[in-house]
Amino acid sequence: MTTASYTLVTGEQVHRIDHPSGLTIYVYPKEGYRSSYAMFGTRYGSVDTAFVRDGRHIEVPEGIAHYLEHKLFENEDCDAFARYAETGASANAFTSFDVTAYLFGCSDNFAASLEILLDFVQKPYFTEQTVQKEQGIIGQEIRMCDDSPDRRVLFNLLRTMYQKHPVRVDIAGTVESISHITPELLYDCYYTFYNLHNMVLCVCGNVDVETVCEVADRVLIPAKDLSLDMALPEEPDEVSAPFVEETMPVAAPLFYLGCKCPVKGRYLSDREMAACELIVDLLTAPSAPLYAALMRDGLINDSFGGEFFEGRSFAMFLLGGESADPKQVQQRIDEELTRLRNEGVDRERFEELRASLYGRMLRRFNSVENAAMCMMDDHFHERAPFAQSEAIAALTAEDVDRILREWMIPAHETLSVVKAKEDV
Amino acid sequence: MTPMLHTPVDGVSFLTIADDRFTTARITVNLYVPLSEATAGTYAMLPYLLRRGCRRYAETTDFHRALDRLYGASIDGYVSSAGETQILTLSMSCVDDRFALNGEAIAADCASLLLEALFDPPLENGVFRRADVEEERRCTLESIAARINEKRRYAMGRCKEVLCKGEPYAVSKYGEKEQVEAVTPEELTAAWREVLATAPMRVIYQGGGNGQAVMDAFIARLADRKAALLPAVVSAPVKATVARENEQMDVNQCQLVLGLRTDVFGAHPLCDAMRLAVALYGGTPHSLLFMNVREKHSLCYYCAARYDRQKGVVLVDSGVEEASLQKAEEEILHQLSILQNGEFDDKDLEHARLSVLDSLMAAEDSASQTASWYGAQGPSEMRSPSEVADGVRAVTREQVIEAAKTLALDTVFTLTPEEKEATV
Repeated sequence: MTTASYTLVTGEQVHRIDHPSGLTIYVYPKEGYRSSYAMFGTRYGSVDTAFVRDGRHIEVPEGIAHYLEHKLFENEDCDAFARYAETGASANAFTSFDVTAYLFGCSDNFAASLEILLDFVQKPYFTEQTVQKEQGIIGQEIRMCDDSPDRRVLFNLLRTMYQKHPVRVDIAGTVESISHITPELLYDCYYTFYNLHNMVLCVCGNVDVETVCEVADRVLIPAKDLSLDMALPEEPDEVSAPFVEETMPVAAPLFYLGCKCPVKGRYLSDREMAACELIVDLLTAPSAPLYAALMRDGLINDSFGGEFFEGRSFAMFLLGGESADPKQVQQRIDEELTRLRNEGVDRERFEELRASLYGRMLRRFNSVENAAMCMMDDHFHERAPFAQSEAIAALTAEDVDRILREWMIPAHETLSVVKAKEDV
Repeated sequence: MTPMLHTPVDGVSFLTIADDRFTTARITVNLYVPLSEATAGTYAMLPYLLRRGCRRYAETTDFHRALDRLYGASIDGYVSSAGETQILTLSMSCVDDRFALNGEAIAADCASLLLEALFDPPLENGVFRRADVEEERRCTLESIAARINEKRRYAMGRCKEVLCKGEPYAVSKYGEKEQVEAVTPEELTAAWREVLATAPMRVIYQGGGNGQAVMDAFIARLADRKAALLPAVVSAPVKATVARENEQMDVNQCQLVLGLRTDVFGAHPLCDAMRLAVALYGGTPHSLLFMNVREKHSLCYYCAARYDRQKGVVLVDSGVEEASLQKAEEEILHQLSILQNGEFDDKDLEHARLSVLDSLMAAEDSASQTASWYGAQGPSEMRSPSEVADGVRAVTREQVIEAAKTLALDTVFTLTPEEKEATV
């Protein structure tokens, strides 16, 4: 059954199955675990706002991928939560910029829950009435997001940093945009993107290949291999604008400094990813001299941090937190970047941070949820499962220096700030 | 994975959970003090001060560089509250020795760094250094002020304040702003010495081996200790008329929080029944609140109930449109009466039970969840997730109804958009 096996740095095995239905399946059995986690995802998210189907060019309202995720839980005869209630599994789903995933965690009745997962995602059922009902619920979800300063500061940043790429559009859409969603549009999206060849199933925990395949063989409906045109508009390297600001009730200004990375092709390489993660630590870890200096000068608090964020044809550094003076923080980060571009990363520091990155990578294997998520991420990013461990071993200080020099330049930066009215 | 409990020194419970399933080892130190307006602000700063470093690595940057070299070992210090107890936590997690690339004894080095941070912080003339105190004072004040940022959490906190006004339960885990502003390095040092000498303490070791070396190292530091007792939690009577408090803010969505009281808490025999009753009421995506307030009436995106077993408080919260506030409140109370009158299906009760059991059984697959589980219990309690699961299995329908009947509405808190000023 297994098409390929990967031996992990922990000595454990991950099995890949190229199922005859068209679905790729990863199974990661964990010795001694009581619980299991399954994630069934499609390479489809909020960035897929326009596509070609049966020769027709279709443009869809913003937020439709997320809306579809909500509505898929309702089948013709029953809703999926009611079915999971019979097994005790804890189920959920999420929509990101480029992925929609349905998932559950459980400690008993794994096979029965897996059957529910694979079954309901393959059975769309949308009517005028059921689509209408969701407007109120998602409308409140959007309102909730509108009141979240952490989310506003991020989405404002993306909208300002990107010129054409639809990562600049909010995942949930707006109350206005979702009012244009119809059952027909949902079916168009569903039959375009929820094709098993475009999907993956990742399972981790108290599981084995036989059980997973038995359910998959029985429940999966073979799909025709369609080639999908998922081209996204070409994005210039430069940001749309260097600064954006909004007022909301917050205690002190929140900020994100984004630095846009040029993505040639759909995704970055493993090595580039590892180098970027190391650069985030170089700037924001508590072991960074810059962190101590910003703390000492009262410019940041322990909400300060960073991450490297990438998806289909986009990638960026995000550094942020709470600060009385975000522009000053940006200036100090820029000064440190100038120094790093000129001098290169200190070799001893590089080795310390590489050791730290290796340790952090090892933590990903502990939680069945994180492990399933990592496998899905790696699959959609066209990488082998847990490929990061080899990339860290191969990483050199020169890789880091190159990215610092070529990508981390002022023309790629946008600062987004959310602050209280009183601060105006 | 059965935890072994030792009480080698007065007031210290030492829990070792021998578990080699994880790539990491973890040591957690919890100190328990009464939650009180007079002391909360002082105690709250201690874990943040202690996680900064130790005498050997007095500067945060150096301390964290040492941790980076130990494969990204991570120290955490934070304050939380459970019932009317304030919990000061210092923890260290690190990669298991078998992953060391050069044969380092990672776990032993990390254990001694944690001990040094706790017992041997950098002092100046016997007191915490002024600059360290000022930095943590600023961060704590900023954390207190940032409470308003996340509206859902803020509204729940405000409801608790009105519900339990004058009781220790209403005191914030960070304490009052005025106290944090005024506390001196001398007072903080005295508080640190006092908690080490007298506060009930729980140390949790999770990892390979039996943790004996770590326990011995603690015992050596803790001889001659006289632990204080924590005061018993007292339940106040429900208010004669429901307290209603409204606050206005520049928000899009209203927050509605209902505060209910019960005398079922602590060692009360109906605690497991209440846990199940609240899950049935609003703890799952097939609960009474989810199925009715959200799915049937489309009033909200979330409507959930949570039970604080240590105090006997249940909070129900939802995010709704202003025009729907009354309807949502009525529906929440209507579902409560269905619960209390036993008008729910047996099937729904069994589904709630399955869901509670499933998540309890999964808890031990996560080292951090296990540490929080035993940490939040308090120093004299020791009930494993599977023991609680046995309790929940034995709960009858009648007990669920009996527990639910003790719930009484005490307080309703609403956060609503500011009224628009009339234009002249």
